[in-house]
Amino acid sequence: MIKLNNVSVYFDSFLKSTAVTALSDVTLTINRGDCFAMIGQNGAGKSTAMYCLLGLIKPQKGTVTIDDKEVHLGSAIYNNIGFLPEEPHYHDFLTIDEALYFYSSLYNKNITKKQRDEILGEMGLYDKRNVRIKKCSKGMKQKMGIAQAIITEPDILFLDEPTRGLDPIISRYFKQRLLQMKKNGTTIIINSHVLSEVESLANRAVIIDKGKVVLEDDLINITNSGEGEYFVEFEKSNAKSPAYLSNIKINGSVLSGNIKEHDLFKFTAYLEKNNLKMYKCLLNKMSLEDSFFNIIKGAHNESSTQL
Amino acid sequence: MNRQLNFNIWLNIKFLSRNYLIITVLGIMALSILNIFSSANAGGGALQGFIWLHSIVTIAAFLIAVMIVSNPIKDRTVKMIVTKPCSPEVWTASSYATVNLVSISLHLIILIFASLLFAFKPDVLGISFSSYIYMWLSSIVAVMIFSSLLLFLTYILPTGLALLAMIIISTLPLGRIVDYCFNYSGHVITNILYKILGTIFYVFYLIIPYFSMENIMKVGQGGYTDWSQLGVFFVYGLVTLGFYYLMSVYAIKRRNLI
Repeated sequence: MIKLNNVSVYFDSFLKSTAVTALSDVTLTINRGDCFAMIGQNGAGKSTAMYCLLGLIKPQKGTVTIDDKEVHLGSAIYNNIGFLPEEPHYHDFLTIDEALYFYSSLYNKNITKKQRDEILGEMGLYDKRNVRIKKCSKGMKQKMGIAQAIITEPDILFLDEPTRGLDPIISRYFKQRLLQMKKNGTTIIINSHVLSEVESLANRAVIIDKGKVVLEDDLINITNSGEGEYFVEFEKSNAKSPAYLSNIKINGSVLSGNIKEHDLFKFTAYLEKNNLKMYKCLLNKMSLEDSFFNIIKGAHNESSTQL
Repeated sequence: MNRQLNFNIWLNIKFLSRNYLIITVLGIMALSILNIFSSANAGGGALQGFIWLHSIVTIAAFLIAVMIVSNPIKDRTVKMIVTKPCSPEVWTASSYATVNLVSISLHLIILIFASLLFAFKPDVLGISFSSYIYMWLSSIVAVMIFSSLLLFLTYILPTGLALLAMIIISTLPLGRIVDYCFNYSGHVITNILYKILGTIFYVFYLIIPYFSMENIMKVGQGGYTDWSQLGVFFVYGLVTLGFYYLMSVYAIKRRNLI
């Protein structure tokens, strides 16, 4: 289990008297084998949370643990961690192959040249393996970053904006590779603004806003949370249609419309009372994007009301 | 740990070989050697040339120290290392090891040249070969001490400030200040204050040695070869290196390496 316990991070500035709050009393629990997404606006604190989990930032308050052991740089746990940074901060004086050789050699695992060549081939970088990183495009750097993050088949994989700059083919391949890794039990922690990508990969997510956790839940609950609506089709009658039915359409002897989740029981009672047949009742599932907007909007309204 | 240390040294050497510093240093050294050789052939003395050669190695070691630490911090590549099973201690050790490895390698080039010169023209430096070896070893230890100080300063300060601080603190006449403080006599309270101040400066005096390559060379020139003193100097060098290494580790661990 990977945990952030009541973590607070402030960034002090030498010249400014006020500190910037990056995370405020954040608690997160990531189960092993989860694909856990951290979602939020720019500057919400997602990357800071990831850096805390990686031990790159020491929180001023709270603890960070992996399997009940506190995270500190250099510990044995890093032998099972892969990390793809948001920005391509790689040693750009090395060639792609040298960089992959260097990064994989820091692990106490034997990565052969064949393995390196294989992953470079998968990423479409084999022919460019002798190109220095400083001469690579953003997409090539990202592919190299992915290759170094997954070459050791880590147990825990941290990905910060993984598909940024990737072409659709590699992006699709990488997504499939991640799903395979997830199936094999790898814990994946992903920061991404591409919510459709998160939706297809993650099973659990946290929404962070202004350094605070707004919601942490299974993705299925997040996409169904809030204003869940049902689309219903039922037999038309002379009885007055219920007031809570919206978006009403008549198609011959069939009436259709939308009802809110909390009106569902009232609606079934209405059908029973008027002895009407129901043809369809479907949950209008929201996309993660819609849910995210609603939740963030709700959080902002709440905070402005409190003010 | 050895594996990670070796690969970090490999990385540092790659870095140095791909920027033009080492090539430039070797080029300047080759030109200086040619100059010494022609001067010796013309019957002139070669000691000044050797002082110059040792100074080049010292400056090169300082530049390397600054570059191999400031570059990964500035480029933020250090996070790609410490998020692997490679601790900040190992990463820091690799920078100290690289500087000393390069310094010793460059010193060896000078020694090979000096040995050849001694073989063909024994009087060209005006000192015995053992005196030269004494100077040569002193130079290695001096570079070790001062590059350690500079490495530490680069861990805690931006590059320009680190170099400036290095120049200021390594040229401070700390010995004279300590003497003045301890020999001051006046009012009882000011006496105590001067003694406290003297003690503080003395601590600095111990950990921030005064550096002059010329002085080292002059010691050798005078035929002064007290090997036991060199041994003490070497032990002092190792202690200083250990001290600055630990300080650097402490500094890097307190930094957010993002």
